[in-house]
Amino acid sequence: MKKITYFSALALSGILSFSSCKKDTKEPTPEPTPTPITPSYTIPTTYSFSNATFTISAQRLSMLSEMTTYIKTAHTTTATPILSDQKLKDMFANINAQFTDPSLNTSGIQLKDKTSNAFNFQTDLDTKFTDLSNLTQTTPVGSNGVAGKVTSGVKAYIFDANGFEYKETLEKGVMGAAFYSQATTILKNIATYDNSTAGTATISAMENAWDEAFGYFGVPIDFPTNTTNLKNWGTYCNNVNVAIGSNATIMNAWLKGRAAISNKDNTSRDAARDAVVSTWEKIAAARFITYVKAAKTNIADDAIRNHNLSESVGFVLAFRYNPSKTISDADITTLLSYFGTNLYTVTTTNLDNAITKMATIFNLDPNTL
Amino acid sequence: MLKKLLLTFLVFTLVFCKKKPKTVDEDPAESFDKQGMLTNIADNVIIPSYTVFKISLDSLSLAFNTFNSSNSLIDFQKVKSKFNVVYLNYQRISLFEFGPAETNILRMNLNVFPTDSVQIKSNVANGSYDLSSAINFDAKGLPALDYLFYGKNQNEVVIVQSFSTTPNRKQYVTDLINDMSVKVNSIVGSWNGTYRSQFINSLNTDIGSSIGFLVNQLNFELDFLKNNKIGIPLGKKTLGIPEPTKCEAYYGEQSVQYAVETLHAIENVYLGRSQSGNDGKGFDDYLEHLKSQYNGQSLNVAINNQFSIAKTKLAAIQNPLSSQVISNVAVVDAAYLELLKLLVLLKTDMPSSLGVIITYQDGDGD
Repeated sequence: MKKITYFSALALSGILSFSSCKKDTKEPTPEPTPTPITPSYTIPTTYSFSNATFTISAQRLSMLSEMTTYIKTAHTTTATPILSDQKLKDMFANINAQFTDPSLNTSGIQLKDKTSNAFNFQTDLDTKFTDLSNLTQTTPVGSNGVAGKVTSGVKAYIFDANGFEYKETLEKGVMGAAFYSQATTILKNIATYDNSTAGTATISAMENAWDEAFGYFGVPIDFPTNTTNLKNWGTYCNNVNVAIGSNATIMNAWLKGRAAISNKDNTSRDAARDAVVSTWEKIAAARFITYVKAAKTNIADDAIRNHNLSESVGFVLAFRYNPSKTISDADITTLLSYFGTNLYTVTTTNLDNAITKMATIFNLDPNTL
Repeated sequence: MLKKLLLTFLVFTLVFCKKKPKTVDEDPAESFDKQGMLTNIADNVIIPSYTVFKISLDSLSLAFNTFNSSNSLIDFQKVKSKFNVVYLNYQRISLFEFGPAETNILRMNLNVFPTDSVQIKSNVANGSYDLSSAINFDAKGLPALDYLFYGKNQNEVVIVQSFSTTPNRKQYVTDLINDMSVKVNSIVGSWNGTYRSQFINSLNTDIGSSIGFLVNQLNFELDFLKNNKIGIPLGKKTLGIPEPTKCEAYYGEQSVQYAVETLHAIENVYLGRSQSGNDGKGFDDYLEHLKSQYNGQSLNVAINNQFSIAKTKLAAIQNPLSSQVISNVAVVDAAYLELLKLLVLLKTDMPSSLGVIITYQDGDGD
């Protein structure tokens, strides 16, 4: 007792008083994740499970980043580089060592074989690569009915004749047809993976599958404390977090699910899986609304509007790849109809319709987004 | 010893916790009468400005109907004079682009310039168009009327003839005025309905709060003034090569007057001052209450001084701006620089004092 000095008592009281004071900073309230039973095991606060590995999905995210970075070299008002369609096709299939990160070239994995062709996306992508490459030979100025580069201030985008952005067709497309599709399919079928070695030094197939799905989400292991180096879906999650509290909700679910698998707690695993899938879908819906709103605010600016609309349409198309989706096919068709086939002639009435429709389906308040 | 420790515990706990005020007046940000400021801005600045705009637009509509029947030069001149009043009054409402105005994207519907004369001609020739289509936003609103009423170096008599011989042209103007009326009536309806109460009862400073909206839009408007109304015509985005056709009100040649009015409107919101000059609670009072400092002096004083300098330099530009950006670059450039200095104060120093985040420039980084 004597060893407790005045100073340490002061420090201690400071700590205690700090924690006893009521916080008045408003944190977004995450949706409660249903937990039917209180688990007897510890759920870590970061994704630092001893045997966790998601290198493969993380590498696929890096591959897409390199592809979009390459296309974006042409998204400038000052330069007109010629893009090679062969290079893009090689990168997509990971042949001929086209990545600047050598570990991707030798990884033995690729984007193409994990990209769904359910809606002819792979086929369309091939055509888009060729068209884009041809366009960059001459780089015409794009306008309604004319494919080419459209600028606004320092921003520049390359659109097809109907205003759809090539980069978005690839990026949002792969996010849907590969990352979202792979992850939600794994999650749907999670119970079918072998879990006999769970919790041991030997990673089980189920643990491994969950890790792979987590990898496609594109966040660091200490998310959301750490929000650096977010990729694709992780970025969008963070974008809408203030409005829907998605960061903590989905990360807690990822952690709970993985801990449940290692402890063979199937009930908690399924509850966490459902929380991940429903939050993920809501993130897409919320970010869609913010993009449509941005398109509306910039309705007269062909470059900014078409870019935001290309993003918006990409989210709607992505919904289709989730085998557990709650949005109906009819609603997807309706939403797509609001954009029509030409982004240059979209109407504000239809953009309002799209915002209202999506907000209604997912019970979101567009005013907070 | 144990007792002593516990006592120390208790004392420090109390001391630390006292920082979080139970009595609100200890925190300057909490004790400022934000609702009083918002009520003043709503009732004495925003709503009267919308009302005045609406009345002038209705008056333009009537004047055009008269000209539509008479085809007379005198009636056309009345139309143009009414139009100038409408465009001037618009400068006083442009910055309130939140709530009902954001829903109606009023800036996009009313003031996209430069206007697309090719698209306008095509619409007039076709006689059919969807004014809500993205392709027509630079062929509608006040800039389109500016083009249709003035043309470039066109004789007034010739313009009157073009109306009297082209019913489609008359119809197009009628449709453009109606399109504006629909939007403005919807906004005025909301402010006179439920939105006012929503606005004055939003007392935080976070994203989506009334103060957040005002500070963001005040800066958006100032940015727009500096860049779109002055900087771009001056060649600030084109390596110094002037772009005179990108002036606001290029055809009617009222650019300078409208720019001055825009700055005046921004200042009125900052001060909480009505058009008639009644100075109520505004951001100046808020900053003084917070005792916000800038380089050792009051931030509010620094902002007021900079408003004054910027107004003087802006008013020193002669009409029309489209020729001044070529023949009198130094004068226009001086105004541009003072607007830039004002922008730094309003966009960096003021928001950090108020705890407001500037979000209007958030892109997705792509």
